[in-house]
Amino acid sequence: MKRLFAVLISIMLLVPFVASAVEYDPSNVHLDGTLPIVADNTEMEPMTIIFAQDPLCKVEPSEMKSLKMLAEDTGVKINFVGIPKANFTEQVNLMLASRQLPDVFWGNIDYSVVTQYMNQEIFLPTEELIDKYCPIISSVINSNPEYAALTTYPDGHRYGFPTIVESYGLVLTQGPFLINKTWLDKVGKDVPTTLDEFKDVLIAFRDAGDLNGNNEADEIPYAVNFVDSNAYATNNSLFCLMSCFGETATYGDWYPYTKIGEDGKVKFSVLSDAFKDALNFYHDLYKENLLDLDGFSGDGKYQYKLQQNEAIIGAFATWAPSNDIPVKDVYDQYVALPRLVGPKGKMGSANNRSEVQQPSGFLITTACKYPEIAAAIANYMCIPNITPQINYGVIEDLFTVDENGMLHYRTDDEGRIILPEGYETFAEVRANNTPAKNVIILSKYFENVVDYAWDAVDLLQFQRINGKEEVLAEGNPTPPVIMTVEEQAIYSQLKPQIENVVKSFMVSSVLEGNAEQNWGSFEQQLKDAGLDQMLETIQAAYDRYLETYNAYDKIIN
Amino acid sequence: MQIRVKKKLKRPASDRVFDAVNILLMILIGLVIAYPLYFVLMASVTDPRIVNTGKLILFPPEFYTGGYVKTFEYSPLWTGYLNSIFYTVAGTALSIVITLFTAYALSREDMFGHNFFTLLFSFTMFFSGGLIPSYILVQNLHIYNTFWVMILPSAVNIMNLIVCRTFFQNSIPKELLEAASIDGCGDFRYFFSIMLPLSSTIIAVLTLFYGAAKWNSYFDALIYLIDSKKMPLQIVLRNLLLIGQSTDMVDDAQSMAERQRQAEQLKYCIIVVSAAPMLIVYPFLQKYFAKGVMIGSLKG
Repeated sequence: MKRLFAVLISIMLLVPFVASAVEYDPSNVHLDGTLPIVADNTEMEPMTIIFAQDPLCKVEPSEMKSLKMLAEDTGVKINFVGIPKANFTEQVNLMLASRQLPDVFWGNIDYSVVTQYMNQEIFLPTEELIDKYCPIISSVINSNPEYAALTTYPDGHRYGFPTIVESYGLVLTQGPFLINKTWLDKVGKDVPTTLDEFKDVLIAFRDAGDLNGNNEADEIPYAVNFVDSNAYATNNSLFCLMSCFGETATYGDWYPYTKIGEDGKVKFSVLSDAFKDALNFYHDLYKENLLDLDGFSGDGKYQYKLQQNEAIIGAFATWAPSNDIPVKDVYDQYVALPRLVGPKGKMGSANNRSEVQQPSGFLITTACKYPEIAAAIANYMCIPNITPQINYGVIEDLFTVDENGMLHYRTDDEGRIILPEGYETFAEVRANNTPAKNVIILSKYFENVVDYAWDAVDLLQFQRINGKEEVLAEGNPTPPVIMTVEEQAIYSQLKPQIENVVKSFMVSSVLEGNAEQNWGSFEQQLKDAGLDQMLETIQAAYDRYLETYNAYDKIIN
Repeated sequence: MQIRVKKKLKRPASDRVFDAVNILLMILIGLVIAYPLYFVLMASVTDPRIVNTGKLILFPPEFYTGGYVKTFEYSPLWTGYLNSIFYTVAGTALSIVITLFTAYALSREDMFGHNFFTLLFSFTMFFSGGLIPSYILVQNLHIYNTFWVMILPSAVNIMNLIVCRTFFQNSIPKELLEAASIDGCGDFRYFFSIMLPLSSTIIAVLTLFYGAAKWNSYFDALIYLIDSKKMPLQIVLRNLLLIGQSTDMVDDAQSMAERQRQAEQLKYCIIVVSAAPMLIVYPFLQKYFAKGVMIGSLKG
């Protein structure tokens, strides 16, 4: 009796580990890229795909338009399950820990989770599936050494299928740095081209009195947020101007403050004279009352100052100007700064990002019954004119199709999108249509497949005036390399300490101007916080990346 | 007879100084505690742009109803309300029934093993299996993602059970039981005809404790519910407050800025709307709370 019990328990424990791939009839299933993937799905068991449902989504997963299109086109019987995004992490962690797995996780699983469960046979390695059943994905990854290296995990396998969104390098440099043209005209100055001219303009703004005509002394010449950083590390434009002093640095992204030096070693770029000079420059600005005092308290108040009915800020950097400045009259007053020239360099630096958004946007688990069909579905989502529909929304909601088959956004005269009935924001349309992950959009698609993202057109324009192309050509950022679990543990412990040291030094130096005197103690504090160990950890991950990169480079060239 | 008017005794000077300082301090502390609540109320009728630049201190410059309009249109709020009310009512009813029965059984000293069971239940107050075994259990019972998962696993709170049992042991004299059994009263009849009618206090206390816990519960929903149609109010509120704080690096910042604005508009109004029921009900039940706290305590 006891033996029987023990045997039963061991069988129950083993069941989830048995890869349960099911046999299917080859004439029924097309795995060569033609559609539908499954011609007759009555014999199929449904695949369960779990994704994170946006809070703005008001419809059942099976009613989401992009998902309906997917199910129709591929012919696969899919059971879509949408877990509310706020509960997603906890529930997925429980599922992974207790082995109650669906067939596929679609999106929102960070590579750190994948590396954690890498050795536990939860996720299916996909490099063979990509080579055999995903012609589009494999051609993109294998023809670009950076993409190939960033989608390879430390154990040499690939897991899931990547999300790659090329957008002319939109996210690879900082957001637009803008200045108020109307105010410039009022004080009789031109748009500055050097750092000294920039400072003169700010002084003119300060002395000009009531520039926005509301009879309140609320004008702020230059707003910088020293404590927090919003998306893509833009509000803290100190790092944008630091490059004027000879060294570039980024903040707020992967591996902040690091970059790759000439010798292939990871450098900590704020340990440089350029940072010291930048701090002194900002201290001068502070002494002259040119800075926004709210920028030291870190609750992003200047986001709300931008939303007011009059222009309050003279110069600032932000990621999404058309969104951050909803009042059109205020928005029209701003123009982008040209690439300011400083004593030892020009402004702007490249972000530590890549256009590979996620190495595993579509994750197949070992409990998947039809891994080949899942791979074919992943490939379907990357078909050039399907991918924008999976990323944003179906044609009938957002696009018009011209005679060449190119998709155009329905925009009004000012370039803002016309939303379909019943929706108030673009984010809402997207949330109700699709989980929006696992797509491959290449820059060459913008010529004949789909328009450039309508809400990033002005963003890109501003960035280009700021000097984007030159910055990208000169920059050598740290790519978002994948770390092993041990490396992640060390890194996640050291990073906040080191960030705090840099931040507090930055704030106190700007306020008090003693960067030179305290430099020695700054270096010592960084050492004590474990800087060398952190750089070593990043170096190890980067070396691994470089190996794969060079291997693919040799094959391609 | 002459009525002598007694002169009120004057308190000594030191006492009066103490009174003055004391009253001043208490007023200050009261203001400090009350101001945030007042601020939330005022912020809900103020344009979020004014609130967020820190200009709102006492009164909004102008009355802004947009927040409430948006809130009343936000349908997940109303499903959340209905769900919370349903879970609270059903959950409290079930919990009270189970607790009363169990406490009665444990309070009868002639029940076989009543000490053992009491110890067993108390053991679970200190040790539990953890989150993952609970999750697996819920999956295996097939109550995952159903409304039962909000009611069953948390049906009995051992603390309340012990309070109830102590009440039965102390407030209802054993002589009643002896007298009743002489007349031929069985155990069940004793419970329904004699104990229950005398237990109105403890039932009120249990309603309050369980009701408050169920209304505020959100962890069970977080872990075990998937359908947004089944989410209680607390989860809806949490989701809304989290919209503006997405740390998902992959989300494009465009939609983040838009969402943050929407979330700001709704934030204070939703807080007011979800806290309102509890705030309204509490003062009326305050006296039961005060009485209830002492019920499970000393004999006599």
